[in-house]
Amino acid sequence: MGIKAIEDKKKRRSFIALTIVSFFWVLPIIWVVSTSFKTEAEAVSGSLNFIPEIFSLQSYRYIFTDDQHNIMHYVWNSFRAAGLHTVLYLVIVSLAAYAYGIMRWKGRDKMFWLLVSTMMIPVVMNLIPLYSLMIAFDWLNSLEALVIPSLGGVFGIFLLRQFNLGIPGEVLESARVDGANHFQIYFRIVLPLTKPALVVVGLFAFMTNWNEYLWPLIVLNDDTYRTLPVGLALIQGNYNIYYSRLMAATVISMIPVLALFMSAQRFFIKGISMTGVKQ
Amino acid sequence: MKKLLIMLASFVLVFTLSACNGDDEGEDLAEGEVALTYWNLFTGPDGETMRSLVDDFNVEYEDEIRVSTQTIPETEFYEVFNNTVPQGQGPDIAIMHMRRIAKNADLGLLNSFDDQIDEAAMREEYLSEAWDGSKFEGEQYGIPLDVHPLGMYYNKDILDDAGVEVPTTTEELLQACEDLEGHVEHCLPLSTMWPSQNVFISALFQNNGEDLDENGEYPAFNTSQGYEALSLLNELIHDHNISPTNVNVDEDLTFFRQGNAAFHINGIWMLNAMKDSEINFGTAPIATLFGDTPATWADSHNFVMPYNPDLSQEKYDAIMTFIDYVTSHSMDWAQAGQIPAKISVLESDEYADLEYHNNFVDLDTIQFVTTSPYVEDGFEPVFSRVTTAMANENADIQALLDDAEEEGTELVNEALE
Amino acid sequence: MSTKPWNRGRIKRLLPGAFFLPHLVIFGVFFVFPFFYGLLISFFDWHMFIPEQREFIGFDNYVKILFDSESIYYRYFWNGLKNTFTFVVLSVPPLVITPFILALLMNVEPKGYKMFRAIFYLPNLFSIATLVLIWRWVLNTNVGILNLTLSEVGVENIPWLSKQPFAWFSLVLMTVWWTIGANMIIFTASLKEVPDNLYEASDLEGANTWQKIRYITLPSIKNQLIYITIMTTIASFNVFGQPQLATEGGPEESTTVLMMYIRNIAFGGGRPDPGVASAMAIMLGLLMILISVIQVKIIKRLSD
Repeated sequence: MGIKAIEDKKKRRSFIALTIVSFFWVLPIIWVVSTSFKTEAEAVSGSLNFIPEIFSLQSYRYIFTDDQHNIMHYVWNSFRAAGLHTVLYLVIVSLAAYAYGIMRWKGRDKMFWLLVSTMMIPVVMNLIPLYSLMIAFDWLNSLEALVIPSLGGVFGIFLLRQFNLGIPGEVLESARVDGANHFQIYFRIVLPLTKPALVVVGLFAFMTNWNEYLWPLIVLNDDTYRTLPVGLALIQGNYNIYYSRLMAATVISMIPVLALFMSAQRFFIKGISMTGVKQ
Repeated sequence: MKKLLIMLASFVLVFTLSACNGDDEGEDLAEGEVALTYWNLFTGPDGETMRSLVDDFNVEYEDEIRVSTQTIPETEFYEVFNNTVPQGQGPDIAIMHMRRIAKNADLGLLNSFDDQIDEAAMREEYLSEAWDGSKFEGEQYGIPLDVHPLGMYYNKDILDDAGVEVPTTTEELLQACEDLEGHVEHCLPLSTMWPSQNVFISALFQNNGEDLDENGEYPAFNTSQGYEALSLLNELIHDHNISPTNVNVDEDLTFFRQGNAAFHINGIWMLNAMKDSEINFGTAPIATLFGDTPATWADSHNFVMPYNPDLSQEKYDAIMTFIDYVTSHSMDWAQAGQIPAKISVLESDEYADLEYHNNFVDLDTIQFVTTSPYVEDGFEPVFSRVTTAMANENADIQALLDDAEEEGTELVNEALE
Repeated sequence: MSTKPWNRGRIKRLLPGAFFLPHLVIFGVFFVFPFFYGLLISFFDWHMFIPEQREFIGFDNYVKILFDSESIYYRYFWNGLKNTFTFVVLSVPPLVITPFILALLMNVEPKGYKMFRAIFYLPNLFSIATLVLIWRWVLNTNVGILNLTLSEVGVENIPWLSKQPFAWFSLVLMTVWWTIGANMIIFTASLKEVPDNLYEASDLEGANTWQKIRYITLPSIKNQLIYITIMTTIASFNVFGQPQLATEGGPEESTTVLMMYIRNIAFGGGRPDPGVASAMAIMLGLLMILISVIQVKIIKRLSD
């Protein structure tokens, strides 16, 4: 009985500890949601109530009809940029991972590790010259600036290659014997087999692009392509004294991400677990 | 997982398609119609007013001139302006704060109005302080739309309840706060952050202090007058306790909107936010609240023409038509919480009927910071020290001013290089 | 063999290129080229838009930021570096230790641990703007939930974002809330890989919990620990959004981190000086690389 009892006690203790800590993770979000449904007067009243005295949708109505800085427009822009980026990235990176993971050629590993080692170079060093490049390409204030430069990222190749290395050699060999060329192997065997990894890489690419703040702040200067994080920061300046509206905007900015997380939670967890393993 | 992939794929398809549609600009212009691009930095309720002014203009000048507006928030405006105009991607016309005009003109980012206007005649039509403040090296770079000073809001009910008059001097303010004890939680909450810098500038000028030296280059605020002004702000909070300590940006306003403050100092642009609240309030000037020399900080929104060497006469004319239209219709603009710079509007009966504007400020006392390309470099480093001085009971005022002067000097050195 | 062996071999040799070239071209244009271009800029009095006004000045930008105590850029560089460093020192320990403890709790798989995992990870997906909006509201001096709660127990309003040391505390706090989820998941995954029999053996020897962590757990997850520490340190060096949006660099530029100065000097309104900003960025980058190398050495030695 001893071991089982000790285990149970451990589990109970850990449950209690986690409950207390997670409380602090959830509370801010609840407070934000609650504020967004209050009237402006109640929001600034300084009372500590989580349930609004008057349940009001006026803030939501306001931000949806605000055609000056329309939050749905920013959401849409972010979706567009991040979606495009993700698809292009998956194509480019899965091709490259095939070259570095499945094909055999001279200098392959050297080149791969050279690429990976550049991941250590801090992003800040490239910021200013990249901006100059955008000027030269006439890409300021364009979708290209949001989508293309970050396609050079190495992380996706790294992750996908790990997966490709795990594909049993016999599978590839038998395809080769059947006369399949590399493009056929890539399409018919490697892509289907690494689907989970592709989802993971896609999710990360999407989220990274979606949350990018500094780069769009620098390269965009009007609302045409402005993305959610930058737009939201502007809204913060705009509604600065209307807390309830601000919180309604905050809630809206959380919803797409929440939806994505709900539908793909296990891929997120899997992807992150993978990044830490065997570096 | 398959579902997820399909979802992703279909999303992207839609996005790609929509991305190809591109911008919806470039609508067809009528024959002979002039298109103007116009950038402004009005994000609040004044932004709505400005847009409806532009809409009215477009209707009135249909098939002649079409103005398309873009709003860039102030926090980003000057950065965007600086990075687009040199590439020839700036607008035809823009709004700029008076305090930024000299610098942008000096950097070659603005066209002068001098070739286009009869300066002497036009000067007559505008508040002369505002008109002259938009000059740089003798040339007219801006046409003032408004003047927006600092002033005081007070809670009528609370003052009536305590039988207190609106104070006009420091002594009266302290007395009023004493008399108000028991009637309200806080007397005059002062934010240590925005707009404390403008309170300080008012206090500096009221104490006969200066911002920049006579050449308009190096810092000149580190004097006994500057010391007095900054000390006073510190003492009001920490010795006289008229304000709670550590009031953050906009929390001063929150106190007032909660009915927990008798007074509130802010710009005239807050007028509409005040009307939205349920407070029964009045307005009063602050010209002698912090010193003996009447002075009120103010700035002014100006129309400017971003640098463009090949602007056609046609466009020039359209620009002048637009400016004239908006400044002449600035009564609407006044409603949005600004003081019009055009004298004909200021002297109209309609303006005289406005409830709050006329009590807000005595226009003879308004004072702008020095018109100089170096005001941002030489003077503005003091702003963060104002915050420190107001936030800390034992702040070393002299050390703060020394530090600000040193940073300002270094910045001006770099700018003059 | 076939009739055209030479041709075939050549095609074969070129084939990998078809697969990696799309990436390599983009990588070259948007990474390798800017890297060297940035080095170049840092040796110039650079003008972003007017090429004729660019002037080669050797190491002047570096000398200015590193040694010229009369220059404003010297002041900005060292102040920014000090603030960035402060953030790294204050934030890295909680960003590594908190998720490690949570992972230990999670590792016994208590009831609902998957839900807890989701809760801790969720904020990770919020953008910086969302994060700051949430926390500015929570930490609002006057009507924020934290101060309202504290005032119930008689603590006077604390200016969380506008006074030190609270401002640093708040920045670290929101960063912990925001980012520890990822580290926690990596720890959880790696703890699973530690063989149970190691613990069982130490049980027999009567080791206490701390000893078990020190002598069994930590050495077993050495690689992940190195990875997490380095990645967290690099992320903290790159801090920008939190102070930019939450404290706006204040009070009195005490949280203006180097990234903020770099951005302002390069792109800010007024008189941009991309050469100086590039020199600052390169110094920051070199420092980050140096510190990562040192960290690897230290952790390796400690856990061997």
